[in-house]
Amino acid sequence: MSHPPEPIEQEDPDLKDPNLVPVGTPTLTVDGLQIQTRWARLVEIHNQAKSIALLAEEFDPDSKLFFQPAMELRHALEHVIRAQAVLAGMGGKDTDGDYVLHSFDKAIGHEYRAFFDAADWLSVSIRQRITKTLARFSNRCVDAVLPDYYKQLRPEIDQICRKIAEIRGAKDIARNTNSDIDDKIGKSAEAIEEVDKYRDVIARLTAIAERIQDSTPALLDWRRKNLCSALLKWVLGALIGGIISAIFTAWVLIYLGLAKP
Amino acid sequence: MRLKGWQEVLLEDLPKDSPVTPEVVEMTLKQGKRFRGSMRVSTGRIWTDDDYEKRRRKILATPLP
Repeated sequence: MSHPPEPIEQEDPDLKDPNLVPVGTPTLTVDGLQIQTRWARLVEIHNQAKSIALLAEEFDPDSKLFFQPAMELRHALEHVIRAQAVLAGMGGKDTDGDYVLHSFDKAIGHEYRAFFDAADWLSVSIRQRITKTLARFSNRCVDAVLPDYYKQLRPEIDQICRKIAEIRGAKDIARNTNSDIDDKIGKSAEAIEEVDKYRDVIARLTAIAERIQDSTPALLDWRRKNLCSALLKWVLGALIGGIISAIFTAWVLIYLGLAKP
Repeated sequence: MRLKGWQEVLLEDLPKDSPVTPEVVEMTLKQGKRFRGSMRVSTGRIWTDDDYEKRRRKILATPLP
């Protein structure tokens, strides 16, 4: 994560207008740098989530929209507004600096959920696309064109999809039980680290999908070139199978006395 | 029931997200002509919660070729 910019301390006279401030404007004791750090984290995680959501929309094979990431962003906005209200002196008497930081952390938590909802949506669509692309070709064909598919790529795809699904499942439990977001999400710095890590993992998954997609002409070419030998093998196989079953049938008939040798 | 002032709702939680069901999609599609936002929403191209979960489980359970 890049370093947050230096805090700029300036007062907006409009925001201190007594007509806008409801009751008991609190004296803010929040360190400016902390707020700037929270903002920087929020900006980063929001755009990470947005980037994944944009790609997920593009990858969806049915061109359908999945609402959950957008709903999480809506909740994040709500917490940002609350924090900003307090900073602008409009928060009411029960709000203080800790409330501002807590609201930012809650907003980051919702952005984190949006990221993994979008990541799950994207990874499922990518997996579907890979399955659809490769299902048309034999294992030999895939192995010949993508030599590392069975050894490296396939286990990697499985691992990535499983891991993202696990994280989403874990935070769904937190959402369904209406509990606070789990400890990891609450600590915004750790949430950012995890999002950064999974952003790289998703980038790897899209790179694999792209490589497989780009291999389609080579796969078709291999299949065309090997069509004759494949046909020959199929005919030979059918012939040998036919001979074996004919011999077996003759032996059974002779054994049962239904035919003479 | 009364309309609250903005100061009163500042710290109130938003309503809980309602599930996306086939009925919601159907209603969205009916009102699509009046909607000027996302094309996917106005044409009813929305994953319902159940359909999304079914599809997700199916794809994740299908072994890769």
